[in-house]
Amino acid sequence: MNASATRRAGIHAWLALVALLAATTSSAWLDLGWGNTALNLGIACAKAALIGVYFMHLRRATGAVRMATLAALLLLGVMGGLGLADVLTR
Amino acid sequence: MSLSPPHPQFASALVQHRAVRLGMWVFLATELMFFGPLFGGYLQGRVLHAAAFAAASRHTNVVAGTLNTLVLLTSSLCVALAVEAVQRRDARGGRRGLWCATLLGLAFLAIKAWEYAGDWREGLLPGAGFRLAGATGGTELFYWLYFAMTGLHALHLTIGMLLLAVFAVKLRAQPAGALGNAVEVAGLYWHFVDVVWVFLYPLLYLVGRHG
Repeated sequence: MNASATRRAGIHAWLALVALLAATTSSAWLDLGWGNTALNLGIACAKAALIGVYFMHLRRATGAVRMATLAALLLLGVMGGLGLADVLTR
Repeated sequence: MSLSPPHPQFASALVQHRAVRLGMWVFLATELMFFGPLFGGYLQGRVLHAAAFAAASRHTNVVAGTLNTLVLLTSSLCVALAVEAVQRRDARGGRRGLWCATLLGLAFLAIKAWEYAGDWREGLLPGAGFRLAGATGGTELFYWLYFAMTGLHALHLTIGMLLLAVFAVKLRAQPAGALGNAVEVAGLYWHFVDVVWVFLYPLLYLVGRHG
């Protein structure tokens, strides 16, 4: 990708991030029950993915970087899952 | 891609570039473990005291939170443009992006300070002075997490601002090619701090808004 295309992609990613922020904020005033939380977290994951791909260049990452990232996310999931296993089964 | 001559322990500039990036990603993985337990604590509190967390979250300053999200997302774009400029060996463009991001970081902290001052006046600081109407144990736990998570985030943001400012100053004296790797990994750190906020924002500010 040449320089101006990289810049354009970054600006487009920022526009998408702002649109997602508007969506998550406005949806908070609709009563969707636990759907609000699911929608908010879904949008947060989409924003994190945009930042990861367009600003942190995860697409160009080497296998070692991908492994370090996935291992961290996996371990966080294990910790969160084990923590929840306690409170959900009381 | 700007590749300056490698340090002697690296076979080539490309190998050094990969090692530098891997090092920062591994550090960010440990940072995730640092923030992780707070998110885990939040998850448990939210499950055990769903109504109290919703009631407490309604009292956060959603205008400040939303504005700060916009400020941080924009600062990340500035950093991404700065990294891209430095890799094109455009030191001026790199400095501009880094200073813009540093100023946006300052704006974030100023908004946060205004917000904390309001929280303090409303008696939302956990402890003997905590006085939220109809408060239960769950609401105080929410505010304990709110201050711990936003405080730890603000500390990381402050460190990030110092890093960006140092490299903005260094770009004046040193050629952009020599700083490509350093600016790139400082940028990775800044984006990580942004991602943490992206998750903090809905969890702290948007729960129970419709109630």
